Formats: sequence, structure tokens, C-alpha cells
Amino acid sequence: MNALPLLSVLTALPIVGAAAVLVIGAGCHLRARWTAFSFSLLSLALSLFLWCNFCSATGTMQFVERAPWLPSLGIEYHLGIDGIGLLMVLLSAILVPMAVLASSHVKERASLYFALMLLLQSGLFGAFTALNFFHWFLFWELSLIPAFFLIRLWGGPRRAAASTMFFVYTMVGSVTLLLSFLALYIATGTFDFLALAQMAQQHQLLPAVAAHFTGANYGGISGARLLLLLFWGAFLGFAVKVPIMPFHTWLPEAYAEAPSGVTMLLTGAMSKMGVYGFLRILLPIFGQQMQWMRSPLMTFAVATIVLAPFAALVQKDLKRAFAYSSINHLGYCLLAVFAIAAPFGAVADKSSALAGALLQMFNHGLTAAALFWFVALMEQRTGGLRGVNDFGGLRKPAPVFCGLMGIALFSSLGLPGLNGFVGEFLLFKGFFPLAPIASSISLIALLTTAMLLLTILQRVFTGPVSERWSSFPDLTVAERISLAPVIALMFVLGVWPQLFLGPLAATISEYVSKLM
Amino acid sequence: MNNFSAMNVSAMNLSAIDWSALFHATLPETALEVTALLVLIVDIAFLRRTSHWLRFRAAGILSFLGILFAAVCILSTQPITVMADGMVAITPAGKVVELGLLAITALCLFFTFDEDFTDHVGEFVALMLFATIGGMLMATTLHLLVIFLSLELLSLSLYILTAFNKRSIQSSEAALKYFLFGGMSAAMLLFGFSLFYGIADSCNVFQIRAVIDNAPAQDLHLIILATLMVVLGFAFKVAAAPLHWWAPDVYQGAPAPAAMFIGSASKLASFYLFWNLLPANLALPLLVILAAVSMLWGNLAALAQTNVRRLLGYSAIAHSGYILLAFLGNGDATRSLLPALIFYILTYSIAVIGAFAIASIVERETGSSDLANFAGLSKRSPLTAFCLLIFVLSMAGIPPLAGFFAKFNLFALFWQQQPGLWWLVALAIAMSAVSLFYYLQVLKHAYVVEPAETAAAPAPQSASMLTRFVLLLCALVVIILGCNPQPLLGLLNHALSGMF
Repeated sequence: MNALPLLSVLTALPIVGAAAVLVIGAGCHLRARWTAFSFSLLSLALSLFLWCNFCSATGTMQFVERAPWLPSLGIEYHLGIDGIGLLMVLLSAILVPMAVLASSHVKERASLYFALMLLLQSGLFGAFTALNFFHWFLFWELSLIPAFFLIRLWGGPRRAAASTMFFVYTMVGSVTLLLSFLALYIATGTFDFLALAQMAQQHQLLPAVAAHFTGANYGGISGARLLLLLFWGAFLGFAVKVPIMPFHTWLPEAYAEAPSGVTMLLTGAMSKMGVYGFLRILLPIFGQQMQWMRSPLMTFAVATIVLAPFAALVQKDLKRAFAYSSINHLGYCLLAVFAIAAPFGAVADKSSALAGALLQMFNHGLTAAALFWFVALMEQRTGGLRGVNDFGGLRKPAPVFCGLMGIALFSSLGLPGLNGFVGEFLLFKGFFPLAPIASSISLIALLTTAMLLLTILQRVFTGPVSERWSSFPDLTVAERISLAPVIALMFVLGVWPQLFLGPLAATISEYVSKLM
Repeated sequence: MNNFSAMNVSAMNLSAIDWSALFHATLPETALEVTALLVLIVDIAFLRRTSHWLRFRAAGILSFLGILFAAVCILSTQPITVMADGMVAITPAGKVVELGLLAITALCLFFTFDEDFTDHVGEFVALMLFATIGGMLMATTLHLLVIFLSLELLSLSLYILTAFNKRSIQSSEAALKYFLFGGMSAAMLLFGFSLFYGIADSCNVFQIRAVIDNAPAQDLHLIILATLMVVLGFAFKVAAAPLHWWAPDVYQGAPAPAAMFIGSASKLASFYLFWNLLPANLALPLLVILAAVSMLWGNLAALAQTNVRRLLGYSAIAHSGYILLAFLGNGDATRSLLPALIFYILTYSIAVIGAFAIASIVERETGSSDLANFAGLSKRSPLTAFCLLIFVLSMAGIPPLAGFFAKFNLFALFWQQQPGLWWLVALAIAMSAVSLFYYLQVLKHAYVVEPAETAAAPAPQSASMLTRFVLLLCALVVIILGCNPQPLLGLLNHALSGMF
């Protein structure tokens, strides 16, 4: 318990920021950007404060706020974070200032752009701290609307189709998710994630659902089947958001057409809402169902991991290539989630897989956002070019640019010494014993990803310098300063992952022990 | 319910009526009636030759005073009574509905201030007040005769209001359709009422219910026929498919304040009356069909619309479908759905009134309320566009706006009571997702689409500061009620608990 409602303040701060940007930044894009940047730094400071005050000895919820909200429906204002939530809050807080800096090219209606961006951040914070379905759903949807408008208004030439697809896919997922949780509410009388998880753990969920939904009304469906149906309903909502392979077709369009600053948030933070949903909501509440459905789920995850890099290989557009590579990276997290749902397996393996998944979420957020930032910088320099084959030999005119982008690429590829490696190592170490076949097949993807990223490296940076790019401007001082912390963080996490794993340890062991 | 049956034993007897109590009980309606007459006199006698600006404001302010007085009467003096065989039945729920009607009327009157579609300002405002009186009487009676009379008072006023824009042929066409369909539905309703009277030998709704509950088997077909007639009559009033044909035309053709009123106050009054009147479980299958068809038809037809007002008309049909879920509750538990019902209609009313006000602004600026005319609205007037965004998203049921909570609350409670009708909830939620598409079309035009090259330059800001302020206020209310619905919901729960 904390005297000051820190998490509420954290969620409200970007909303205040959005209002401030609209007022202060009206008519001047510089003022709008700097106001937004200051507010995002404030949020970052607050998240760091949370990080410092986070008690790493316990795996239960901290900074809890609890008050009745709508008693008639059993809806509470219930906030709290454990290590997982904390990590996601920190990630969102780091990404938004990056995205704001990467959006320096936005000049038209800039105040609205940055206000929407801050609203999106508020949606992220809200979703990562909520412990009640109703509350969580508000922010889940709230983050969708700014994202839609950011793509729709400032996106590329095919933004109309991209934003509509993004919206429709996510809405369909939300509808089934909402139905599932309404059914759970009707069976159990609560929307609280923790209460539902506890019921599931104590094997009370199935009897409750069976007692409420039997009889002729439901065509004689058994409780177990119905719960499975509810699981698939909730699954769809998250599967679209992450996304998992058959539900991913909105993603390359949306990532490619969104302005790069927004793509950074989409891939860095919003896709994590899906993985977070799997970890916080799906696995604790529907663990049993996940076990039953383990094989199909594993198949989805492996398909996501293996097929996405191949799709990325044939892309001509850097953003689309990175988009598919993002799908691949999050596939690992999902494989870990499905692997640790298994009823067998050693605690150590599960802990390792979960730790790997969490690190991977953070790393991918950081690295993918950095990569899209570099693409944004390229676009600014070339007037919108971002084809894999549009460049060549950039190494000569822009060595610093290529060096830093190379680091980000290698981090994404999982080179030891950089952040990507630690996460993937822990992941494979963890889920190899749990799911040997699936992880063996997934190894192919490591190779394909390496091929993909090295190809990009080669096509863009090496080779003869084309006439056109002989005067490709290198990074300016301001850009170097703003990129430096991100690159530094990649190194820090690469050599000292304990920095993050330390505070997470208690959460991980608590989480895994509840699974057993 | 039992409290009331005792009072019905004595047949109607004029000498037994306490006239002073009756006056007290109907003071709000009387006050509004006097206000309406005053508005007429002042406008015709003194303001005839002055500008629309002054006339609408004078009539509006006079009406506000009357409405305020009526509201104070309801809140402070109007006792909870049933008298004269249920002809006057003041209940807590009825009072809440009356207050809601007054608030909605006041809001609609605000948006007449910028209008100039008619030279008969006094008549227009007075008719709106008459319609409100009709609605208020509907909320405070349990007697078939008075129900029918007050319903006709409301309906006739609305027919005339719809036809009020004499410069527009659409307005006349809409009114004619409304009137013809309305006349037919009134006939059906009256037929149903007469059958009920024949069955129960009473006009009191509670007595009729008691008789129906214990009716011998051979009367059943008669009761079913009567129920069918009444339900169809009401389906027309609330524009539920398949008796919705008038709605799109009226929403498009009627003057904006009249359309607002039809979309909000008339719905509130009709739904509440329906709630009191409904012969409980008999109508269930029919209502299920009405609800499902309304959701499907309204939402799917709205997809194809190119005129915002017409689109709102079809979306109103869909919303009637959602609202009908509240009538499908389970036996005695049904009454717990009433707060959800009223909450839904109130929040929807704010959104729909706001949307119509904005459509009317666009109409005055660009000549029509076609989707294409909304292009560039966000550049012309960002505030109006923002308010439109809030209203439209609230109707679509996007969190954290009031419309989302209203739907969530209603659907959750309904499912709890009628688990067997889970597919109706699934359909409602799925259809809400479909509705997003056409609501987003409106926003797309307001925010994204550039005005066509050929389009004439829009007239300068036609909305007064006051209008824009009220719009913003409505938008804020929608946001606040969405984030924190508990105060209003708690109030409704408290006021309506235990009543019907």
C-alpha cells in the first residue's frame, strides 16, 4: 500500500500531457513536440521511481490501489503491478520519448499527433496496471483509438486500408474477448483477474461455469467444453494483438503505413499488450485449457516463429521486413508461454523460459523500436525511401549511422554481448526441455533471421556507393545524443541482464509456483 | 404491485376524487401547459416582427423557466400517489422519467437557438412543450384511457413538429409517412387496449395484469392477440424493426430540434410506458424477434447510408434493438433491468441530441447533412469535430464513454437473467462492432477527407458560442458518465429500487 496513488498518477499523467500539448502546442510543431517530450520524460521519471521503490523480495502485487467503482456489477478500481507489469510500464515509458523524438518530421497538426501519442501511452499504462477486467478493457480499447487515428491521419499512401484493417481485426478480437469475460463474470460474479486466477488455481472455475451454463439453453454443452470455448474467445483477442501467425495479416500493412514514430509504439509497446495478456490473463485463468490445447497452440507459435522470417526475406520494404521479423521475435515469447503451461517440467526450466520471455519482450521492444527509428531517419534523409534495394554503400558517407544501426540489427539477431542474446538464450534453455521438438524446429528461425538481417546489412550498408547517396548525411549531434541511451541500454542489458532479472526473480518464482 | 390492487377495487367515482390532491399531482404538467400557452401568446402578440434570433431565445428562456418550475414541483411537492383508478399514478420511477424528459426537452430547446427554419417560432416551441407534457403523462399513469390520450398528445405533436419545415419537401414527406404509419399503429394499439379492457373489465394496468395471470385457458388466444397488437403498436413508437419504416425519413426530413426530440424524449417516454404496460412473459418470443431484427436491420442498413441524419435514423433502430433486451428479463428479476434501461436511454439521448445538433450546424454551413459535407469539419471547427467524435464513439460503445458502459451494464445484467438468450447478447456485441464501421465513416469524413474541389465554400461559423459551449458540456458529460457512471447509476438504482 502506498499513500500516494502512484499508478493512478502514472496513468493520468499522459492524459494531462495530451491536454497540455493541445493547448500549448497549438499551431507550433516545435512547441508541441517539446511539450510532449517533457511529459513523456516525466512519465519515465515516475516509472523509474516505481522501479527503484519496487520491492524485489516479493512476487505479489505492489503499489496496490483498490476502491469500489461500480459495486452493482462487481467492478472495482483495482490497480497493482508485479515484476511483469513493472517491466512493461518501464518499457512503455522508455519508448514514448523515443517515439516523440523520432517524429520530428511531423509538422502538420503536430499538436494533435503528439496528444494522441500521449493518450496511447496512457492506454498502455492503464492496461499494464489494471487488475480488473472492466478497467483493463477500458484502457485496452482506449489505446486502440489513438493508434487508429495516428495511422489514419499521418500514415503512408495506403493508410486508409491499413488503419481499417488494424481496427477491424482488433475489434473482432475484442468482441470475443468481451463475450468470454462477460460469461466468466456471470458464472463467478467477479471481473477481478486475481480472483479469477485463484479460482482457476483451486479448480473452482470449471464447476462455477458448469453450474451456470448447463441445461437446454446452451444446447447441453458441457462445462469443460464451454470453458474451452471461452478460452478461444479470449485467445483470439490476444492472438490478434501479438499477433500469432494466422491472425497477423493486418500487421505488415499497419506497421508499414503508420508513421515510423507510431510504428515504434505499435511494435514496441502495443504488441506487448498481447503477450502481457497471455501472461497476466490467459495463462493464470485458462491454464487448464492451455494444457489441453497445447499441441495446436504450439503449432501456431512454431509457425509464427518459423514462417515469419521467411516472409520477411522476400520483402522489398524495410519496414515490412522488420514487421515480419517482429512477429518472429514475439513468437518466441508465445512459445515460452505455451511451454510453461505444461503440467510437467522442472521449475528451473519454466523459470528460465519465463525470464527469457520477459527479457525478450523488453529487448524486442527496445530493439525493434530502435530499428524503426533508423528507418524513420532514412526516410527523413531521402524523402521517404525505405526499400531494401534503394540504398547501397551507405557505410562510406554515413559511418556512424551504419555503426549504430548495425548494433541494433545485431541486437535483433541475438549476437552475444548485446541484449537480444540473453533473452533468446534463456528462452531456448528454458523451453528446450519442455518442448524439445517445437524448439528444435524453431532453431531454423534463428538461422533465417540471421540471413534476413545480414542481407539487409549488406544491401544497405556495403557495396559500391551509388551516386545518389554519396552525400547521404550522417547522424547529426542531436540524433547521436538521442540515440546514445538506447544503444547503451542494449549493451548494458547484454552484459548485465541481472539488472532486470534481479527485480523480476521473485515475481517469476511466484508465477511459476502458481502454475505447478 | 399489491399496494396498488387495493385501490382499484372502488369503481371510478368522481365525487370520491380529491381534487386538490389531483391538482398537486399534476402540477408539473399544468405548469408546463401554462408555459406553452404563455410562449404562444408572447411570441404571437409581441415578437412577431422581430428576428428569429430573439424569438427562439425568448421562447426558449420562457420554456426553461417553466421546465425549471416543473422540475422543482416534481422534486419537492409531487407526492407519490395513485388516484382515480390509476389515471394518475405518481411513482418514483415515473418521477425519474419525468425529470429525464424535462432535461432532454431543455437540451433540445437549447439547440433551437440558432435555427431559422420557420416563422412560427411560438407554435414550434409550444408544440415541443405539448409533446413533453404527453410524455410526462405517459410516465405517470396506469390507465389505458389516459395512456392512449397522452400517447396521442405526444404523437400528434411530433407529426406536426416533423412537418414544420415548410421550405423542405422532405419534411412534409416524412411527416406524412410518420402520420400514416402512426395512425395505423395507433389503431392497432387501440384495438389491443379494447381487447384487454374486454378481458379484464378494467382499464387499470395492474388489474389487467392480475386478470391475465389467472386467465382461463380459453381466453389465451384473445390475450395473445391483444398482446400482439400492443407490442406492434409500441414497436412502431420506438422504431423497432420491422415497424421502423418511418424512422429514417423522419430523422432526415424533420427539423433538427424535432428530430432530436423524436430520437430521445419520445423514446424515453415510450420505452418507459412500454415497461409499465408490458404483459410480462407473453410477449417474450415476439420481443426477441423484434430485438434481433432491429439490431440486424438497423446496423446493416446504416452501412449503406450517405446522409448522416439518415444514418442516425438507422442507428436509432439498432439502438432500439439493444434497448429491447431490457424487456426480456426473467420474471420478477426483470425490474432490476430498469435502471440499466433508463441509464442507456439517457446517455444515448445526450449523444444523439449532440450528433443532431452538429448535423444541423453542418447543414446550415454547407446546405446538407450528407457525409461528403462533413469533409473538413475538423479544420473548420475543431471543437465541433471533437464533440462529434465523442458523441459518435459513445453511440458506437467505445470505452471509456458513457455509451460503452450503458451497453456493458445492460448486456451483462441481461445475460445474467436470461442465460438462454446468450446468442442475443453475442449478436448485440457483434452488431456493435459492425456499427463501428459506419460511425467511423462519419468521423473519417469529419477528420480525414478533404472537401471536394467543387464544393462551395462553407458559410462562416453558424454556431453561436452558446451552442458550442452546450455541445462541449454534453461531450464532457458523456465522458464523465463513461468514466464514472456510479453517481447516476446509483441514483437510478436508488430511485427505482422496488418499483415495478
